[in-house]
Amino acid sequence: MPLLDVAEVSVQFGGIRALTDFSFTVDEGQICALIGPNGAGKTTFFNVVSRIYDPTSGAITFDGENLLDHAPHEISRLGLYRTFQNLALWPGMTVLQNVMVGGHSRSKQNFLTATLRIGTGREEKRLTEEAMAALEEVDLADHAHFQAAGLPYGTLKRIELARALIGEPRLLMLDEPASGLTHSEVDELAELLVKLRTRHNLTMLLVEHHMAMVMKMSEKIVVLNFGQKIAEGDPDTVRNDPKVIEAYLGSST
Amino acid sequence: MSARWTIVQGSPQHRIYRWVGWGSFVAAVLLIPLIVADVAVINIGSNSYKFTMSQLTLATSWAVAVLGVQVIVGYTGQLTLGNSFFAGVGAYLTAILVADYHWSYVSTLVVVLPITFLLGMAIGLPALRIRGLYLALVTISIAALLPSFAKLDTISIPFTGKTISELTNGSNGKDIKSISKIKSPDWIPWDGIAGFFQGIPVVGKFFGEGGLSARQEDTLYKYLIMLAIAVIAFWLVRNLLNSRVGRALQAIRDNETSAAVSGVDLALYKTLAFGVSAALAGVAGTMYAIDIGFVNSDDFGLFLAVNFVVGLVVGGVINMWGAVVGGLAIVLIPSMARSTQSVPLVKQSWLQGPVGPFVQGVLLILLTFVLPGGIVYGIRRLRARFVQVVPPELAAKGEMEEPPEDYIPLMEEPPPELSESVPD
Ligand SMILES: Nc1ncnc2c1ncn2[C@@H]1O[C@H](COP(=O)(O)OP(=O)(O)OP(=O)(O)O)[C@@H](O)[C@H]1O
Ligand SMILES: [Mg+2]
Repeated sequence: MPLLDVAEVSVQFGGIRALTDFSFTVDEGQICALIGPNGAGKTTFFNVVSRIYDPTSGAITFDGENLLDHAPHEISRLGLYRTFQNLALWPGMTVLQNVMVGGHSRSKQNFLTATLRIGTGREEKRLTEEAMAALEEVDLADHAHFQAAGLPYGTLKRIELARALIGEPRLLMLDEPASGLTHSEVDELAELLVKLRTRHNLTMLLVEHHMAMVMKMSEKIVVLNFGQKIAEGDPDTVRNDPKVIEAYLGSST
Repeated sequence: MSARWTIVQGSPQHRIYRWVGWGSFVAAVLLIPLIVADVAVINIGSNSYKFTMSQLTLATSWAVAVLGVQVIVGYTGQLTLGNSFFAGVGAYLTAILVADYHWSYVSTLVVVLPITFLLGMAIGLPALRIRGLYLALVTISIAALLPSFAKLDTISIPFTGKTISELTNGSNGKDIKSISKIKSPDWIPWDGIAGFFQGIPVVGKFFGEGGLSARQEDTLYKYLIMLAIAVIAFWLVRNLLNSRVGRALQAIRDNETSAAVSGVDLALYKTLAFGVSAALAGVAGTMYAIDIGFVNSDDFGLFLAVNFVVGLVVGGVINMWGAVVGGLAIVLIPSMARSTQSVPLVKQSWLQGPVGPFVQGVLLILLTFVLPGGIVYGIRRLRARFVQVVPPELAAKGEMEEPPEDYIPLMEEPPPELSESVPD
């Protein structure tokens, strides 16, 4: 059984059909890339999985659970974490606190216990340690106590990655993690992601325009164009698919 | 700036630094009342400013109220202006229970806390749908409601068999102090304490002469009760804000979408934050009733609602010291503005007559420009020029290359609204 099973998902915004009968699967442990020209519907699909958008039709199953039955805040508890294309951190908090919020679903303090400090000490300590470990993995431990506001773009992208990692994701969805990075940074990122995948037994769904990185990393590639799937398969198959070549010819990628 | 003094977090110096800081605060809080006793006068230029005990006690109540606004506005990012309503409810509940049912003042908190908490949650419900200016509008309407609500004589309250206006004594205001007055217990040796400080060389003269009058003793005792309530409230809120919950609230403030994606239940956390905020306003209302011994609905209208927010902005939006300073500011700024009769470079004739509100307005405008983020934020910036406290991980590197970026919510561009645009 695939870990993520997407069946005929359609999303419509007014007159725009952002996704049309989109189906594909991701197997446990796989690195699957979702590519396509600008406006193809990749981010829209992420937002459907995050339950930010409701699909007009279709079904998404994650590890046997019907995702569409869940509210946005319940998705992370199932082990689904993501990063955002345009960054969605919390500038008012420190880097460490940002990452600790990533562990929200895996901690328990509530309004009452926190106020009265019942069992908070141990959990705070655990969260802090886990957040430091996650920051260590993305090589940002020395930034832990900086305010997130005003840090460089590449740093913020790695904070988002650490914030997802602390949740111990089963499926990690990355929306253009390499955008805005320099060439050498992209290589480092690809290396890091492959390492993290083995270390944490991750399944990854990667949206990326950086083709070299996609071809190198992924085991499966799904290609979207104007909301419709036009190809699917291993990197070699997809690379030579005439439909894919045609879809990309018009755009500059 | 290499002249800065670097203190490593958790080091002995840091401990001393903290002890000195807290020690001075505790000393100030406990000794200033003994110095002020009734009135202290400070002359600056040709202006003479009066500081009274009643200002200090009132400021203690309002500090708790501003803290409540801080929880919801500063930490959760929900622009609500209605907290004076809950303060009014708290004050009236205390007044009614003390005057009509002969409860002791402090025990009324048992009723005030849950009722204002639930009311706050109920009023937080619309905030799940509306935000920003619309939320401000709805909540300030609620604040505007209280004075007329307290005078309603058509609705009767279950269990009491009385109408609201009978319970609140309508527009005459509810008198409590003639029924139950807070008296200092005999076992507190006020005269001994005063004598001790008066006996200290050099500074002794600031503590006045001779024993305290019974009225002064009662005031000091009342102040201690209020101070204890405030300290407990601040401590509990500090626990809340420095926890998973506090971080989740700030995440909601800074970006709701990613907060939800990380597992924060937006509806639950927002509603509970409204409850906490309202309960703090309720406690402030109880403290007000303890302090003044008289509750008049007209004192809990729009003016107070706006004042709470002014206190927050002047004090500091995301630092709990901001609430302390904010409470003081609400009380002191108007009175100091009134007493200001001459300002250098300003024509004397302009400051004659009732120009207090005008001076106050100018002062507030100046403050927002000179100290964006509030007084506490300004003090911290100033302090950072001389002292920096660094975590041990960074100590090895010596000075931090770049001090972390400053962030003042409410002054940033408003975050994108969840319903309108979703980050991609
Ligand atoms: N909230 C929305 N309201 C209306 N239209 C939307 C909304 N979100 C996305 N769209 C539209 O849906 C289509 C797909 O957008 P999406 O952001 O999913 O593309 P993408 O594949 O992520 O592109 P890119 O590579 O540029 O990030 C676009 O035409 C976009 O304008
Ligand atoms: Mg996109």
